[in-house]
Amino acid sequence: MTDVPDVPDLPASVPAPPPPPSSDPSSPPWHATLPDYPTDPVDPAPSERPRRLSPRSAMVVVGAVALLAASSFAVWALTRPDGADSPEAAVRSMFSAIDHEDALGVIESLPPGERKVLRDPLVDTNKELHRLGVLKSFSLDNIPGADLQVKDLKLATTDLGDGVTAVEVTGGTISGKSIPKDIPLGDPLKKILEDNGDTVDFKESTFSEDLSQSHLKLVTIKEDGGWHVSLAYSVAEAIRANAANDGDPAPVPNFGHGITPVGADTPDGAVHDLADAAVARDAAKAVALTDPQEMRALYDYAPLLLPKVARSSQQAAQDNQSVITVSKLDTTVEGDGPIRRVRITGFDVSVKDTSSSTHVTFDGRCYDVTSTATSTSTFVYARSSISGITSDPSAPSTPRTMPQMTPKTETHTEHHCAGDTATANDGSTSPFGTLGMFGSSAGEPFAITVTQVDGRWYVSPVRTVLDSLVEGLRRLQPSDLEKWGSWFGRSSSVSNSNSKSFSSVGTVIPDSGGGSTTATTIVGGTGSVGAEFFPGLSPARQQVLVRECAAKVGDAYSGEGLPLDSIDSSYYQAYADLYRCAGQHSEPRYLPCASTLDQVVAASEKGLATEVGTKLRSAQACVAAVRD
Amino acid sequence: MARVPIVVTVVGALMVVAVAFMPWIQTGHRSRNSFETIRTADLLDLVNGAGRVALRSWYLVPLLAAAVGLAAALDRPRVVVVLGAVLAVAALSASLVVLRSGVHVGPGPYLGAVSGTVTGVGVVLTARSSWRTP
Repeated sequence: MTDVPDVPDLPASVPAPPPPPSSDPSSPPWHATLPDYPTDPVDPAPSERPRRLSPRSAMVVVGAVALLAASSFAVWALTRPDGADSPEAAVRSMFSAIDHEDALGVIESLPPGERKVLRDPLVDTNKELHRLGVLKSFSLDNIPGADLQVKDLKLATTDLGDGVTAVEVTGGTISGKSIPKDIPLGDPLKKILEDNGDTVDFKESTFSEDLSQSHLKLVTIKEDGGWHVSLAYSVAEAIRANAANDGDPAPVPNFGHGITPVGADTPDGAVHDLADAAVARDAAKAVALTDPQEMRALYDYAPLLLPKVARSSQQAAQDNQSVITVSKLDTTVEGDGPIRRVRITGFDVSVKDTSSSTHVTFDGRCYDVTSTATSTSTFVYARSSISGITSDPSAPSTPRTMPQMTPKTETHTEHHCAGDTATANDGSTSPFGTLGMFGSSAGEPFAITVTQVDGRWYVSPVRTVLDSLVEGLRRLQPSDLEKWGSWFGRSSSVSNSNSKSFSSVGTVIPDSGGGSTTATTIVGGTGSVGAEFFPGLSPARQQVLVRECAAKVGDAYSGEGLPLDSIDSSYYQAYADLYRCAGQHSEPRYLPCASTLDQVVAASEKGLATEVGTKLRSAQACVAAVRD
Repeated sequence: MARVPIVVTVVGALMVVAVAFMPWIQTGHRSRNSFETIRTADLLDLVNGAGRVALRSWYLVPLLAAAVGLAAALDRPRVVVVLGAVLAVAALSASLVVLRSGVHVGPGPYLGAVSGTVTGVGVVLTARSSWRTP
């Protein structure tokens, strides 16, 4: 083979040569003076000549190479799988995100099914808490207030099944410190905490933990082509491992071969079918109606649990002969797209067993509960009465327990409506009112979130809980925080004081009639602890007194819920001591009230019921007269 | 002198690509370049439908810039104008979206806007010279 040398191109600017001279000697003379055309010397070895690209050709080559590289990048970027290359890489990615306080990175390391469920509620909750003043404005991509560090992470992997691998953290440290100035507490929340006697002066604190001692085992799953750290699988595997440690070993489930998703044809159909499954105590059917993406772990692990659930359910049914009947379930579907809310607008449910029955109806705004119980000892439902400071013969009867020698049937009814205050008209505590501080007093019936997967509708348990939380937050107003703050204040104050009960301040005394009972409260008000014991003072002053006399407040509270026949002088003594404490500390105007209550104590010890009532009213007037 | 507009366009396109690999957003103490930002938004389902297609088309920016360079090398000014215009619009749009998103941003979106503007200016100048030339 002979190499054919490249023929060099002629420059474009060179004019076309004239025809070749004729060999005829008689040709015209003008052919004798031919011009000298530039000619390249003939290269004897063209293949050894260094090639030279013109600048433009070089640019073309560079452009073509760049085009190829950019095409490869685009293909790689568009087709790369979601997730890490290996289980270990997934866990390292999550810890790296923690190390960088990168909340988005942590969420990214979760499986798509879990990530989608958590994302919106996290964003919405953050937004609502900011609106309410609980938190300052901050972005989830930069959570302030802490500086975390993860070092020397050591991991060990164990295959659990196809696409499921446990990664145990066998070494490393996680350390961090709080940054008080960056903690994003909202000013309204700070004020409420301060008003309730709590401190918001955060100190910088540090911590360091040896991860090898944590026995942390995270389960990673392969989803959408990549590995992710699964919260649901980690929890499920921890439960399985703990059961094994407790002597109840369960095998590793056959991943991907658990319960087959069933779903329903329609959004509300999923909710109705779930209710049917609950009535039939059919746990397998209930699982098959849950979102198979969100509850993938449940589908895999359920076969380990269902036999036990079925056995205990059957046993319970046999023991109590209980029967659940849902005679009505009204729903409306809200929203469009693959995620919707099915709101319960009405139901009629009965639960009966050998000794009791409960019938609950709900019409979308109010619900009625009728409970019937038969027993040898009668329990009368407790009622709280904090309706005023005067003796009120028409007030509801008090809670008490009286032993009965013969079986007796007691029927109790309740009627509560959305928009109720914390204490309903009949003196009982309304769940709507109690929940009102979480926004449910607006009266929106409960809703269940359903999702569409592969054309079927499923109940989404996690979304239901989180969406309901966000829905409740949306209905709250910043002013509701004060109620919330009072609740916290009351809880914390009383929990510090060995109290038996802190639900209200109501109690009773026997009247002069002897046979019947009347309800009388010593102090009134439905607000915070401070407002109930020291109603005429400012919240700040109330909290000071509550703090100074916390133990006495607890003693006074301890009388709440006592049966009528156990009320004695010690109850009134607790109030006398409380106001004496307040008088001796910073509000001497309560000292006369304490003296009057001492007289109540004395009268009570002598059994002078009428005098108890009279003196008690004087004491109440005394307390009410103390004002800022 | 006639080549200056095309050179400006190509330089702008190269700037867009370079800036795309710079920090665009800050999540915690971690910086993400434009492609990582796009991936995060994609994985978190922040955008759906046509928006997602537009989001993912950002991965084609280096390809587009290379095509602008190649067209310039082949002396195809009108192709440079069309591709450069798409690139300029993409860079400016992406920068504005990120700047208005409320997240902590790095220098990326600001420089993205600058490089998009440079590309746009180059496109306009190239268009004027190429359409004027028969």
